[in-house]
Amino acid sequence: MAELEEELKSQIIESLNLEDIEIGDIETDAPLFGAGLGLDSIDALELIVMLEKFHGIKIDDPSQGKDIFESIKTMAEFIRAQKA
Amino acid sequence: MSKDLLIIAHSVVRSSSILVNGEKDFTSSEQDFKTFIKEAYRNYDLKYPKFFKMDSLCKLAVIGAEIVIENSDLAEISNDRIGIVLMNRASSLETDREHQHTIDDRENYFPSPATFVYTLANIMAGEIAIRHEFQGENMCFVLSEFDVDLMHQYVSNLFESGKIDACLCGWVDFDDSNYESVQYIVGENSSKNITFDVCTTKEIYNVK
Amino acid sequence: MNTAYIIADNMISSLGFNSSEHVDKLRKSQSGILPCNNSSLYPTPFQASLIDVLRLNQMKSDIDFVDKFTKLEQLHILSVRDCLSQANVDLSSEKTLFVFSTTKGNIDLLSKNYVGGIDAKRAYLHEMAKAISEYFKNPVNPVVVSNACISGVLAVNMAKDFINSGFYDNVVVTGGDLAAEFTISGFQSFKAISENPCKPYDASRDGITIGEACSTVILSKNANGSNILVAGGGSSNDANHISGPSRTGDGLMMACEKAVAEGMVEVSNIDFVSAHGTATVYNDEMESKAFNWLGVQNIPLNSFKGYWGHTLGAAGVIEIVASVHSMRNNELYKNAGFEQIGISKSLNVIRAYKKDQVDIVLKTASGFGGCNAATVLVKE
Repeated sequence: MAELEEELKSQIIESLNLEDIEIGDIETDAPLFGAGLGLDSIDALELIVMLEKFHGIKIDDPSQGKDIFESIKTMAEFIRAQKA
Repeated sequence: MSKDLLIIAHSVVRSSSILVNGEKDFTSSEQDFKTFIKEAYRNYDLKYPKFFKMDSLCKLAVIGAEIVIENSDLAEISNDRIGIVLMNRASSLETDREHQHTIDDRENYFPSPATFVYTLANIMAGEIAIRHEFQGENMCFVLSEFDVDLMHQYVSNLFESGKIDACLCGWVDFDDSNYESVQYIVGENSSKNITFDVCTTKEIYNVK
Repeated sequence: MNTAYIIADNMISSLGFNSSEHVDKLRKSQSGILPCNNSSLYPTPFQASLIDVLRLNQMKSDIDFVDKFTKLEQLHILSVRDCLSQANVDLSSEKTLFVFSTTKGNIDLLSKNYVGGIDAKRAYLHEMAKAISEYFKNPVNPVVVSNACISGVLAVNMAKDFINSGFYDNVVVTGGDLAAEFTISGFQSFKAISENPCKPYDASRDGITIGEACSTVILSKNANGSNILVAGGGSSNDANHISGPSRTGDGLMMACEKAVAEGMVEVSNIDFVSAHGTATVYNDEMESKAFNWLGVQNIPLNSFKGYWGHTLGAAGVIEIVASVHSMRNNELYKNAGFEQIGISKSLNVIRAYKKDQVDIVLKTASGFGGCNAATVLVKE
């Protein structure tokens, strides 16, 4: 089950050019935005591209992203729900 | 006529080496730009994770600006009185090609906002402005070569019209793995007696 | 010395190929934004303001440049030629400078689908500029201002400075950008493009409309019968975010203050504010804060984006030209697309075309990279 979560962490590090951050540094439950990884509005848009590119899920309304990208856990849940 | 304008500090970044006020400050045996600039970042200890999100042009501009600003005492000058005037030859073409690549194939069509935002030459000035909180005049020119006369005319005008008290000026170009940054701070007060004129700027640029 | 007169102008956009065609449609509040279903520009349909290609082909057939210039270069040449028919300016003089304003220039040359025969090196902005200034036999190295969406306003400000300093007698400022696949795909990835024609300052606004345009102004130290001067200018940086507008509007406010001070006008005497108004939620909100801070909230204001979309590097130039016609004709043009105010601080958005005395105009622009610029135009 945790495979998807680990995959997402590695995709985020790659897509968002997070230097000096490794998979082990990102907690599955921790908030992605705010203090944590220091992500901003461009990163949020980039996560939308990442979902489409690697998981085939299209998000048209960027305001949806707020809930989906809360944490690795919420992202993984969203992807599983979409694919179910 | 106002006071003579002076060059407070200058930096040159090219061929895997960095000069500050004409003296070698950092060199690397690494020829690849991406590795070299990362080494420079570590050397100057920027502690600025945003750096790694930037494209090559902005990384070059930010490192070149960092060391020249560090060597200029701007504490007395209000941030909204510090301008940024940059020039280059290739605009943002390096990143333009990268963005174009993401849309060339309809079957693999994923334009990236993190790439697209760097497809403007003046984003380098924006990155410097954010890092150093400079809020003064902005200008970005694209020219066939470093035009020291135009730079002198334009920046002198900004001082004469009373819009700025200091200005980060520079030629910052990145194209197809060739790169060059020459940046300098112009102001009205400096312990060094380097006049801001066409001849001196050329000397700074031409140093090997 | 303040003698930078606007002596000739041209606008090319979806609304036509010269200024009078534009003024005619501005008076009728007629927008050029239409649905576009061209999959070579974007895979799915979108709204855009596009230049009439059939007419462009007709117009250029009588001239000798068809195979030598790109679409954008052809537009620049047509635009400058129209200006030359209005004023006697010696382009072959060393005292005449060409200033180009563009964000992406011949960006269509980068596409692997490009079919024209123009050398790829013309994707370099200075190469494009040189090709055009050489066509007009101008001996001075052309200058390209490429500073995102404030390029046009900065270019006009610089032209004014260089005339007032005596460096040049005439400066031709020509701004242009295409609605290219490159740009449209990028703004789509930013989720910044509205599904409907853009609605600046409106409560239901949800993004920009991309437009293509080319526009030229000639500034001269000699009035040549003109009574409109570029009197002041200023620019600034928010130092906040490379793609998001300032939360406070401080940067735009500072640029406006400098332009007003240099133009030696009182804020209360401004007759019209030609604002940037891209119709993104955050930009228009930022402007409302800056304009209230500056104290122009009751002065008639519009954004021209509802007519020809966001024309990027051309925007500042074409919107200055439209403002000049507002001054010449003493009339105010409606903010197309606007119905109900949707910003936290109120603004006097122009709801209908009307005749009114227009002697002093404040023109503003803001763009990616956190930049802002303002110009003050004054009627003598």
